[in-house]
Amino acid sequence: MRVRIAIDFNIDETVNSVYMLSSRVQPLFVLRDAPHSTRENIEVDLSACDYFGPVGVAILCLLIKDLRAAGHTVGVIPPVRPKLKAYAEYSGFAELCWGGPPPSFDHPRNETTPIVFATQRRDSEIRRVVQLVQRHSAMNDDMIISLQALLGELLMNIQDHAGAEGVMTARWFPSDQTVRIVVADLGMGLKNTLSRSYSVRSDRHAIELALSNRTSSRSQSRNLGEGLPLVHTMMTRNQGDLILASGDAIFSLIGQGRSPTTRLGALGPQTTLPGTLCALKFRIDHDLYDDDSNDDESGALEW
Amino acid sequence: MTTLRVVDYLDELTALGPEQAPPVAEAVLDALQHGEVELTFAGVQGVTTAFTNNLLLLIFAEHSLDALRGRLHFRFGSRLHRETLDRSMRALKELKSSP
Repeated sequence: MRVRIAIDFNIDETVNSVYMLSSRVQPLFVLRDAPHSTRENIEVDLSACDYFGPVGVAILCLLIKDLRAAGHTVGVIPPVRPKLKAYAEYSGFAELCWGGPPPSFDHPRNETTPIVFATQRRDSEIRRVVQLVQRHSAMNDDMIISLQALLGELLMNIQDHAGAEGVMTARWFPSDQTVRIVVADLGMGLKNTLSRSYSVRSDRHAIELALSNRTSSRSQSRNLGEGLPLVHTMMTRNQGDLILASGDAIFSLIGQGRSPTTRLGALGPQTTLPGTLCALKFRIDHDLYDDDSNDDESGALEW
Repeated sequence: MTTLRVVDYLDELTALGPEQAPPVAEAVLDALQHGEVELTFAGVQGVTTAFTNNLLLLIFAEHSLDALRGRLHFRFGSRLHRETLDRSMRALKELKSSP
């Protein structure tokens, strides 16, 4: 049997895009999770898609890789638009999906870090993202420290909780001086992870817990549940955007000056996203500490 | 007082993983035997809670919180370092006080 999925819409780093894409590929998630399903001939058609970014690359790469590993045949019809074809090459999407050329990270005009699959945190990949941004924009020390910490926290989550291979990919956007980063996996998801230590009612409740201070799965003795809350705090301060999706729930923080909007709700009707996806839109042009507070960084920490 | 620099115990300028904490904790515990210790994060770039959690868990596995008050001091290279360690410290205090 032939299964055809057309991605005939654009995929940005927004809540709506995460929903649209998850909804469209829902039959493929079902196939992936059916252990005894017959081997299908799957076609993913991107020819009518004008734009996709890190969210599209992360979800589609993870899914296509899993489907192929499960024995399904997956063919991808490439996008037509030259700019999108170029992004597909730089992000490593083309190589994985239709045997396109490998990404060339060192190209001076490259604005993308190629997708990397990993079960362990890889500091070299974190350095790559920082290097990419530094290539295009001057970052002060606070920015570098924050970006490294953000990426480190997210990749530690994959290492500690996903129970599956995760991906990271990033792209620099000169138009709004942001770096958009996606770290995702199609593993256990927040609800299953936190159920080890808490009574978790729903995916929505799991996201709420994960963003609360000191909620930890205790999957490792060193986990004290501070990682995602710190990511949330840093992104609020950055006035950037943060999307966290897992199962049938999605959280968003949309930075809008000093009045960010947050929302936690359902991903969409009859739609779930296995694992966990975290998408950041990190503003490089924004001073992280613009409050002139007297917070003395060098003083002793009391306890 | 002995001053120890976190950066001296790292292979690179970042402290992103829990596996980087044991040599730092070991040096702190050794130095504490001889008196007050100041641990400075100056010169380190990105730091995660995975590192600071493990660092504090290792240090305070051997000492109570009260025992090191006034004997162990931290100094930071950035406000984010301070905030990250502060979060780990608060979580550790809660962990230690829970039954």
